[in-house]
Amino acid sequence: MQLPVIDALISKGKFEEARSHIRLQCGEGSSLSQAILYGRMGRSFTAQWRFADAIPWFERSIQSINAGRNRGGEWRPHKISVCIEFCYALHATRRYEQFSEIVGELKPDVEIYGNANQRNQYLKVVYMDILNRHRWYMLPDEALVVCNRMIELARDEGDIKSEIDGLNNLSFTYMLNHQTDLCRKYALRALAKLKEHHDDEGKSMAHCYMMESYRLDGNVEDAVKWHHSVRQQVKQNNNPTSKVLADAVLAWIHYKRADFELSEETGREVFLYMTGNRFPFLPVCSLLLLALYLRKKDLSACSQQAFILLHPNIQHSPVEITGLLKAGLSAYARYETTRAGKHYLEAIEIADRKGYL
Amino acid sequence: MTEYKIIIIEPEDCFRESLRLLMDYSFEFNVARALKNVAGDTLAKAGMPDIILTGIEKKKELEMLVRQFPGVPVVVITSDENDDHMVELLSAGAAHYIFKGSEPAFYLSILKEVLTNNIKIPDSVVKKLIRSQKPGALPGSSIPGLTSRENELLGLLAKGYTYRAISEKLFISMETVKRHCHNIYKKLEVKNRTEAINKVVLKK
Repeated sequence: MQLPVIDALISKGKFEEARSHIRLQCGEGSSLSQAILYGRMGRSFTAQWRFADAIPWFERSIQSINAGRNRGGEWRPHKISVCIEFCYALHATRRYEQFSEIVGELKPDVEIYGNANQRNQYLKVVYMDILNRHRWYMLPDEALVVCNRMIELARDEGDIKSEIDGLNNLSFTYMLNHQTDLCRKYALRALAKLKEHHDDEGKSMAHCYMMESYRLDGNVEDAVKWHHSVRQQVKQNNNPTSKVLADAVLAWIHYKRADFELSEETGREVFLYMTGNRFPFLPVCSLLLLALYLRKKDLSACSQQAFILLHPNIQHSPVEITGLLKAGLSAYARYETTRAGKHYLEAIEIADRKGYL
Repeated sequence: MTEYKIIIIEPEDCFRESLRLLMDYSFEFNVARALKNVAGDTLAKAGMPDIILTGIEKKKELEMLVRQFPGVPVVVITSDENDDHMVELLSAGAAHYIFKGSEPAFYLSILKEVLTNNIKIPDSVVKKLIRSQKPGALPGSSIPGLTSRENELLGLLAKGYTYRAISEKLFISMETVKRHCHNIYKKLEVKNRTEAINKVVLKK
């Protein structure tokens, strides 16, 4: 089996060539060899972001392992690696239920057979699972435990990259839970670690969390400061997630400065980008757009934002807000526009008071 | 995971866009077309979807839509929650209805109910619907001139099964279901499922 050749081709972006090599070798060797080749085939597709194409190969790889006679020892570490890669593909295609199942099934194997790197990789998918299950809102203590475990494990192994990831995840968890001081504390720790290890994505994320924490506090001045630094980085690394989050904060800054026209223009761009790419974090711009459309008394546009904010696959909002959005939507459908407007206004007032706007 | 092909027909621009986003974010529906009305070539070019979601409530337009897509369930969005209006929509060929002010999750569950042939319509509406129909033969009796397989399919059509549900129940492909249905309609000299049921089951 020419695994080093296949791996080299994948890492060089020669995916078709890698797949040709794999096809040539499929059907030869033991079940384990087959399972490894199927796994590499899946990897060649995920490396191209072709997650839907990767899934059947990961499934075949796992099936081969499960069908093998010797399912212990050397088989297990491979199964863990394939399952983790499989989880990323499932997550990217939003097959959250299956994702959750695999994460649960994998736990005993990781505890017994997983090496340090696999344990850390596994904690990352566990964290993703918690995010999905709670719709990226008010995460339970379980999330904090996982993040701290990631940091601990990374420190034991001297793995700075994973330590930064853990610190950023911790910061993100506090951000989603609206504990802004703690959010900043861990984002700053991640930034301090970044002096020891270059990681563009980690740096972008930490800056975004700093910016977002000040937005949640309603602190325009500091949000502007961090917004500038995020934009600076976007110029260098062109990270689309950081850019869209920075733009969402920019729309909010315009709103707070009563420049409503510019706020709507920017907010609309963010909304279109996010919906075009199926981002789940729509409340960051949808609540703002709802407020802006309400100022213009455009209840049809308000209802559109309310409708999308209530989608089961969109980030949760506080229950007081969603209750009012549901009431507004229902009133609008009954042509009770005054009542609908009243509900939307109440929702916006709560959002503003609680730092969601 | 199955991805269902859906056509959306909704006159209000903003709401039509909301419905498109609803489907996009569901990861289970692929919007083949999102149209303002039933007129024009665009609808004909959309191909055969698995389901249609529409805000069109006018009887004639709805009947026309049902005729244009035989075997495809049509779910109507309505602002009128009155039972009599629901009966009217179902009589015109709608497979189900949704109150316009419902939350997104409810829209998705109704569409799934219809696609999996697990439709739950309130008793009050069902009773009124039955009273509104002329008495006739019940599904299941054999229709002369049709093969036993065709009779079986007709019975399932009368029970409200979609093409997809029939193919899953009888373990045959969608293409075979469509071919059988085409033969049934030809033999009964009707154009679609509604007319076939009216002719044989309700003896209209």
